[in-house]
Amino acid sequence: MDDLIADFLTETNESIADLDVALVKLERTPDDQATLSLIFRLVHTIKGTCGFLGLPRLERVAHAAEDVLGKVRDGALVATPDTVTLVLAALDRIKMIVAGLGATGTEPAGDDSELVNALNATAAGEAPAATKAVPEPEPEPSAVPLEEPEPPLVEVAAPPPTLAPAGAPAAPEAAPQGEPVNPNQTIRVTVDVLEDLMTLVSELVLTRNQLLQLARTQENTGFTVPLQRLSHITSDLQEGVMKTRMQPIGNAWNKLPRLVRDLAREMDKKIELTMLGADTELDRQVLELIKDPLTHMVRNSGDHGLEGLAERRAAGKPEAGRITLNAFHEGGHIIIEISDDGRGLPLDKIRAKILKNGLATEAELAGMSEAQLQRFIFRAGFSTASVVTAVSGRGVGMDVVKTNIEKIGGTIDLKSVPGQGTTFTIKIPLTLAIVSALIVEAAGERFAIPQISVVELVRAQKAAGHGHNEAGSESVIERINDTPVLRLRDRLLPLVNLNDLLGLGETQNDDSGAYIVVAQVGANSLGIIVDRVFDTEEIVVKPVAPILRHVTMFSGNTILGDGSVIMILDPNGIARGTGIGAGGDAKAISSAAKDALRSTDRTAMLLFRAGGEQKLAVPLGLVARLEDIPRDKIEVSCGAPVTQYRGKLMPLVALAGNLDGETPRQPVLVFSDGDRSMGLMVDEIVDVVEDRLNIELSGARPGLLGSAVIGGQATDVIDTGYWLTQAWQDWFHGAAQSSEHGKAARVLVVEDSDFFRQLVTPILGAAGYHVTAAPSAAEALRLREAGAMFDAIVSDIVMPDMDGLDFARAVRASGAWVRLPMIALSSRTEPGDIEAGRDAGFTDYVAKFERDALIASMRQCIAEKIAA
Amino acid sequence: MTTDVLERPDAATDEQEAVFVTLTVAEQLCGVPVLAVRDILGEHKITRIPLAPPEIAGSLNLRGRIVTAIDLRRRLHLPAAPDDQPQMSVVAEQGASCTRCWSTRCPR
Repeated sequence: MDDLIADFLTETNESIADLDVALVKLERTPDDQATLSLIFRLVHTIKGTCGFLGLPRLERVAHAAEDVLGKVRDGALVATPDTVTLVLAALDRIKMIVAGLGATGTEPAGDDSELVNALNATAAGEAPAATKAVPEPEPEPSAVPLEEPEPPLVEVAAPPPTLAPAGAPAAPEAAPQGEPVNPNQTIRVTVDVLEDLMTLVSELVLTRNQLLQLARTQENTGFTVPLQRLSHITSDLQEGVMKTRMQPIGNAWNKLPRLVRDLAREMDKKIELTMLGADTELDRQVLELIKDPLTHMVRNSGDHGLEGLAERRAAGKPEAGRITLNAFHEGGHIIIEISDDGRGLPLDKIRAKILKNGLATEAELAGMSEAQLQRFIFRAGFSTASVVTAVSGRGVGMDVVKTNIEKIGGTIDLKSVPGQGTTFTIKIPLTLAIVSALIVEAAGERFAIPQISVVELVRAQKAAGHGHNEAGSESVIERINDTPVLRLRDRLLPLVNLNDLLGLGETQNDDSGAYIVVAQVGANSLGIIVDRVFDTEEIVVKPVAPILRHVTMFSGNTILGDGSVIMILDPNGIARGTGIGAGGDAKAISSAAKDALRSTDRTAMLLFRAGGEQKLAVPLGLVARLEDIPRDKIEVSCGAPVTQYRGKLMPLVALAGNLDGETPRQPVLVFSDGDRSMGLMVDEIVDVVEDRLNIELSGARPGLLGSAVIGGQATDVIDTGYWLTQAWQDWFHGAAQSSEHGKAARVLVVEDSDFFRQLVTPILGAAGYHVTAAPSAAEALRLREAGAMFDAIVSDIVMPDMDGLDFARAVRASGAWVRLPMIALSSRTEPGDIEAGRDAGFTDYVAKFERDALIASMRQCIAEKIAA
Repeated sequence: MTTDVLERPDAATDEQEAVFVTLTVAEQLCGVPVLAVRDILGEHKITRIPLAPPEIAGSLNLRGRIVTAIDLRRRLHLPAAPDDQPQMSVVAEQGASCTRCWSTRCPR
């Protein structure tokens, strides 16, 4: 029999039983609106369903009955006993037909026209017709025509008996002849009952485990055999109860076709929804929890993922976009894939959005892989849809999805190929009730780690120093910036020490080795260092007390076989807490960047190659951005290469003179000033290193400042100023007009290092100042004696013979420059140094390479001087 | 075991009167409405919960239910009990449907 019919029969039988009761109640209290509404609704449902299932006979009867009830409900008819009788008759007829349907699978043949006519007549307000028609099912006519509403009270007592035989013979007929009728095949049980059962079974499983553990220690007791049986039965019971909670995932999907259809209409797209593996079963509880995330993701795929008709045609794809849902079992988990054949994730938009929201800096972005960038969509408040549509783009998207899935111990991952589409993969446990977990120990406390996230166990030496007895194959925990890492099959695995993480204090055992639990969190792995590893155990996850909810390291707690309470670690929470993976990449990177800033006497240099193997360098602080532009985006304007960059034309200068590289993409160093930019085309960006800059000047070629030893290798440092003027002849003049008095302010730069002098001069020049450079303090003072006048002085602090502080004191002591603003430029920016600088008479103190800070300070100083 | 934990059901003669379980915390006598009390436990193994607030002593297994144990001395900002002092727990239920229980540790 058709599943739908079977469901319908179960439901209808229930409805009819309810109807019988309700109708009788209505007869006693005709004014009870609640009962009336209930009856109307039930009949209406029956009518609606059989219309849908194609059961015309049933539908006609139900429809007529509904009409009558509708009138009664609206107050057009009074629920007189004969009306009720008539409806009961209709109900009996429905019962009869349903019984026939249950027996044979099709509606029994028969004519209901008289009953229907009677009902219709009643509905139209013709009481007599009704009464006449009531007994129709049986040839025996009603003895008394019931003209008035009053008499029926007595009279009507007759028709029901006549009706009852009418219905009764029908039912017994149907029941014996067909195989056992549907109502017995399914029963409805409230979910609570099942939940309770599940809890009980879970406890039973635990008790069984406990018993087995006890029995293991004792040989050949009389308990062994019965225990075995108990064990089997418990397993079967667990399986059986679990089955009652299982539902096909299709139940969570059944709303999707409609949703996709509406979506397609709204967005003016064509979307085909393919659903595979809809009968894959999973726990009801899990099903409920993934319903919303799934809906959201399908909506996202339709909205963001799939292109519009025109765009698809242009891309040579079939007009109709495809969204595929695929569910299947894999190793104790359910995998759900949601894929579309749309445009893929827009990396450019993601980058822009990351910058706009300040989630990472350009430099950090430059070092990120595509996968890392894509994972940013799981961050809170991240939606790349530029327009907030009714469908999506409200910025409450994938982060909520991710949280919800992680809540049930699942993981989510994505793979996106530009132009070909995006696939999301969700991995969720079969059931939430019982999970297997690895029991580990740290500082004497035991913890459980869900097996789903454990990839492998590794034994490693704690430190290289202990490794004298190692066989050579054993891994060693290394440290990068005090962060422990492990080289695992040529990949660096970040490690967290569970003791430190949970604040448990030092480990007591002086074992030189450590166990590392390699856990998978999204696309990232992390290693958790523990003291000991026990076996795996089946555990029942219980939620932690509300007072502990804020401790994200734990996903729950449980009772072990030996009766002790144990906390369940949440690898996702651990990853978040330590900034490893799970969207925490940026945090780790930014702290690294801060470290880089702190070491001020070193300079971050960008190493690159252009025209040859020789490495070139430029101070990273001068470079605005690193770009990788497609070669076909490079155009020629006025005989010079340009590219469209952020809505403007940006001149490109080839450092090595050759334009036509083979590579499809061209790395470019972008320098900007205000809204002007220029790009320096290089062959390859090699690295960013931090080193002390010792430039040995050589008057080699134009465009090079000289060579320095960077990272142990001789490296040419390029003269940024030279290349800037290659792009814009007036780079250093354009801004001059903008200075306050129409005439540029004059600045004296005192700096012993040729490199920095070369560097500061173009920077200030670019900002519109006339710069005079002096290689020493003595030279600068000579200029003073010679009567030169400036608007401001910029001076280095560490200089031979006379240092910046002495120079400042000399300036402040006497002469024409006493009141000039002085800016100290130094690599030493400790508070003490700044204080010393101020004491000596400097107006401001700026760190070297802080280009913007220098300019800002300069502007302010000069403005103050003018104001004074 | 019940030397200090005294139940006085007989006192409930007046309808205004409620019945309390009395206990001492660091020599301080306290009362808990008897209807809220679910269990009274003697020495019980309590699992430490890392990163939990200081007043959380840990969690314990009460016949298959996990109960969060609150150190009443800490909660009331009283000095910690000496190590050798045996501790007792009063398990009380909070809210009708809420399964969260708390346990107080008190010297007997």
